[in-house]
Amino acid sequence: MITNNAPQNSIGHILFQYDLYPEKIEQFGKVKKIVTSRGTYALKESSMTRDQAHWFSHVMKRLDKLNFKQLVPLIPTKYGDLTITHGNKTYYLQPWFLEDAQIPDEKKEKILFKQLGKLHGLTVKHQEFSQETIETSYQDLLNRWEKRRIEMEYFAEEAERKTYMSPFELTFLTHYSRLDMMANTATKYLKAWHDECLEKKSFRAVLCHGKLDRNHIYYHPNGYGYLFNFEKAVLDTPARDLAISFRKSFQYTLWSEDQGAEWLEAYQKFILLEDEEKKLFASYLIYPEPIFHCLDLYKKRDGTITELQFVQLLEKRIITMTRVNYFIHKTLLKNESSQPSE
Amino acid sequence: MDMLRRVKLEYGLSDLKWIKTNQTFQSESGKKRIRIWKDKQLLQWHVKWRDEISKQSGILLDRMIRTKDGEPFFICEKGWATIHDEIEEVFPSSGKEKEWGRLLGTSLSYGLDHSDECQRFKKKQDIPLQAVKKTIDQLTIIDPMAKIVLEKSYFEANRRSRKAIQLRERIQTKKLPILTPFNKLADAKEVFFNLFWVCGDQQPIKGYEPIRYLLEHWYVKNGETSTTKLLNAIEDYFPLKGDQGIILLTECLIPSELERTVSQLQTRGNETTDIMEEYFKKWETTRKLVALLGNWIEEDREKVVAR
Repeated sequence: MITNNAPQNSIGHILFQYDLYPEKIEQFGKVKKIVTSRGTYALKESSMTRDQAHWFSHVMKRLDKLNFKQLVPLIPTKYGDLTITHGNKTYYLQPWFLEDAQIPDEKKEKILFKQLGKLHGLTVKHQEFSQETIETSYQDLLNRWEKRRIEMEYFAEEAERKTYMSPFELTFLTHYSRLDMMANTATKYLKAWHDECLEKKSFRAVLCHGKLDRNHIYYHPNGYGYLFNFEKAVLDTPARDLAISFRKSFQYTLWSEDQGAEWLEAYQKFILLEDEEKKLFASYLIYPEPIFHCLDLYKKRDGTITELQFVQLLEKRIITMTRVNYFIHKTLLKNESSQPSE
Repeated sequence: MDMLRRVKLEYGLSDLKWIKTNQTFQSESGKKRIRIWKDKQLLQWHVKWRDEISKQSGILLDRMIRTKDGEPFFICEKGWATIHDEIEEVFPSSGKEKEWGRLLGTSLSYGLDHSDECQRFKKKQDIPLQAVKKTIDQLTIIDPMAKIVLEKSYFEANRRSRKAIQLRERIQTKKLPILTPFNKLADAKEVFFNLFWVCGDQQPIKGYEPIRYLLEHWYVKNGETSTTKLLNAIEDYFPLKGDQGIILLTECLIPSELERTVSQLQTRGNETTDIMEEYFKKWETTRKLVALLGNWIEEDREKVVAR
């Protein structure tokens, strides 16, 4: 029964649109677990704008039409809407999933990249060629990387001027020239992608999840992984989405190039990367952004992480980046020359 | 097939019981109302209107609950049937001007943008005052004093009409919003402290007549300060201080209360006292509302001049 006996700031009017009358509500971050006599649901609160919510709904409908089953579906309101925008918040409802706690860690990414491959394979489309789009993407990324490189150079110069460098600064400086080389290699691969695209006069776009990692996949006891949180979904090159997920997955273990080969194989069962996409993927991965990001954190340190922990984090990322370098040249681009030409 | 059985099938609802046969019923998801539509184009207009206004304003409306197949209605013997929530608790007006302003402002904005979409919804013609005058002359069975008042009112009504025409000539746009009738404050219901607007099933109206009546009711119930707050709240979503505000002012100037009173007296001459009493009140409300609205529209213009 509909009653108004709820606190004024309650989500009663949101649940009303689903005809849900909760017996129990539990909060997990931005998700509310809603237990009702009709079942258990997850109500997600997000900061999507009305336009973003519209695009998000479109994405979910499109995936449903494409029969992409490995995603946590949205439950429509009684009026048929997939999202509800109220004030500056957007809400949507999904079934509550119980995860398989037994799944071994090393299997998690394999499942994840398999599902990402399926998503990309199902949505891949050759786009109408536009030199302007290629040029703009190329130039934007190049400019951003150059800006980042200058920031790092500045940090290195400042550290060098100090009489006593901190252990973190010392570690960074020890590896600085190698990082600079990585940034250069990334730029060269980016140029190779740019030139090949212009020569081929074609490029592909897929529906990119935008932030897929272990936090955005449910591992079901049936062995499947169900993707969710498509709030940042965009149409873009598969290389970018794949690189984002690779980078996010690096952080869970001390990553090895064999794992990378497995992930790529799981992904490529559904969509084979084209040569220029491999170059773009290589450039994204090899650019030492994770290390630069570590520096950003260090510059903003507030004492919650010790100097030693920062050094450990930096070392871990440097090892990963070295392995990424091997992975790129020995696995991803093994049939090609190991370095792009000048 | 019995309507409730159809509803069960179409919506997957259970435990259904009539509260009022063929109108309202109880379900496990609360009280619901069935509406039967004979005009499909009107129904489709209402579906779209409610969906859009609700999405754009974030305010709940008695939107069409979707069938199991996601459709907003189903075909029945008498036409097309829709299901809606039936809410009883009334939403307050005083102190809730912001919520009302959002609903009305969004409706005006959407109604104006889609003004040309449906040509069948025309503006009501202005009252032919000559005909009203003729009817007053023909009223023989009423109190002579009442007749004198109406005759004098006719001259005032004529002045109001002329003023409305003059104002209309001053403004550039002739575009009018299409609106559902916002006549009754009681159509605002409350769901968990939120406004839930009941749109009903009437033909939409082109022009400001629904807003005029709503403002009149509001003014009578909540007074001047609250009405100004409501206008300000509408202004946050729709530029009512511009030309559209002038069109609203011309709508308020049209002496429709005289026409209504005369036609009531024609059929219910023995209730002259009550009808005239109501007429005086209505006339006074309109007069005050026109003054308030005029001042409110002019307010900012004066400020600009004063600077």
